[in-house]
Amino acid sequence: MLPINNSNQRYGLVSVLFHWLMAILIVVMLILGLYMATLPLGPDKLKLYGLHKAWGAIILGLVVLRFLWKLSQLTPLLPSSMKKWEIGAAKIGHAALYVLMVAMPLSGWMMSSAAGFPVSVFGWFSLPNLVEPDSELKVLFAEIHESLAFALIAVIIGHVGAVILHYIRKEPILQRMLPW
Amino acid sequence: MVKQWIALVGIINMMAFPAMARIWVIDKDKSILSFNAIQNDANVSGTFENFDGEINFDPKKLNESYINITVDMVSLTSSYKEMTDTLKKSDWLAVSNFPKAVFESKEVTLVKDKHYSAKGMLTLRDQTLPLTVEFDLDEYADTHASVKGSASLSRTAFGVGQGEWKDTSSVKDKVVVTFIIDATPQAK
Repeated sequence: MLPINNSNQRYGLVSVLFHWLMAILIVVMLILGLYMATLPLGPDKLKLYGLHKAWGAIILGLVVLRFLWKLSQLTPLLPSSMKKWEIGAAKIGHAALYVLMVAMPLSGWMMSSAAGFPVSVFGWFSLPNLVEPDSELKVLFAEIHESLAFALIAVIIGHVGAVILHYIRKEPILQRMLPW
Repeated sequence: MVKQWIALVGIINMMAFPAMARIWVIDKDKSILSFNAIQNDANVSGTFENFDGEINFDPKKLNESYINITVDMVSLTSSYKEMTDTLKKSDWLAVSNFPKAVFESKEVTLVKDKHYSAKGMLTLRDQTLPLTVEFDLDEYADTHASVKGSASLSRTAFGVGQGEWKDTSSVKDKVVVTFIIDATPQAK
């Protein structure tokens, strides 16, 4: 059984759960977002937008909790075989992932607010509108949301690419985040 | 003879000026007509910028009061241009075929205090169906009157939302129309 907390060697249970749960949600959300935007306006499109918005709100909540947890935890040490610039790149990459995990749902929330379509979380409750409805702002936030999505896809590809690279180099990076 | 003349003048007067409640002119700048619907469990709203009507209302002569409101459906606006454009199309309000919506009521009754109800008929798209409007008389003076109220209707009963939009799981059937009407008495 995995320890709850992180150590210098590896991530603990809570961090591992956050990582994989959010990884799945984010990949599904990216695919869903790109797909639903291509649909013609109809009830199906609205339903998918509704789901996307509700899960976006959940992800925003999760990333806040995850970040607070991270602050309270040790970060496992990187292998000593890594070069200085690689360590720097890893830190920037992880920072970018956190920034994007917050910026994606936030820009989506702004976009919904500007469109005058509040975010309802599965009908349980609605998020307050962040800005007054405004057509121009809606277009602006939509563009930001889309650009951030492509940025996130790029950073995720970099993230997975780095894991593969470490694996080839036989550096124990992936193992630190595996649940077993 | 004189008495007969007076009686005759009285009859002519009554025919020319039948006993009527007071006639009010809607102050368009201060009056608002909007709707609220539920899409994906969240509120969406829009307004009709242009509407007018004949309001004949006197709390003391409710039996003679009547309300005819005509809404310019083309004047629909909302926060979201795509939504406005969609609602104007044939699947929804079909404003090019049905540019006007009309509410007519001759049955204005006091519910309690300053709360009234107006039972009448609403013509929306190609359907004419009963609708009850409830309103509060917030102000009633010689120079000015103000009411606010609402009515709840089923969009599908009026054919608002054709084809796949008849499905009420993403856009709910119930639509609430709310209004504030500010009016001044018609000059005599």
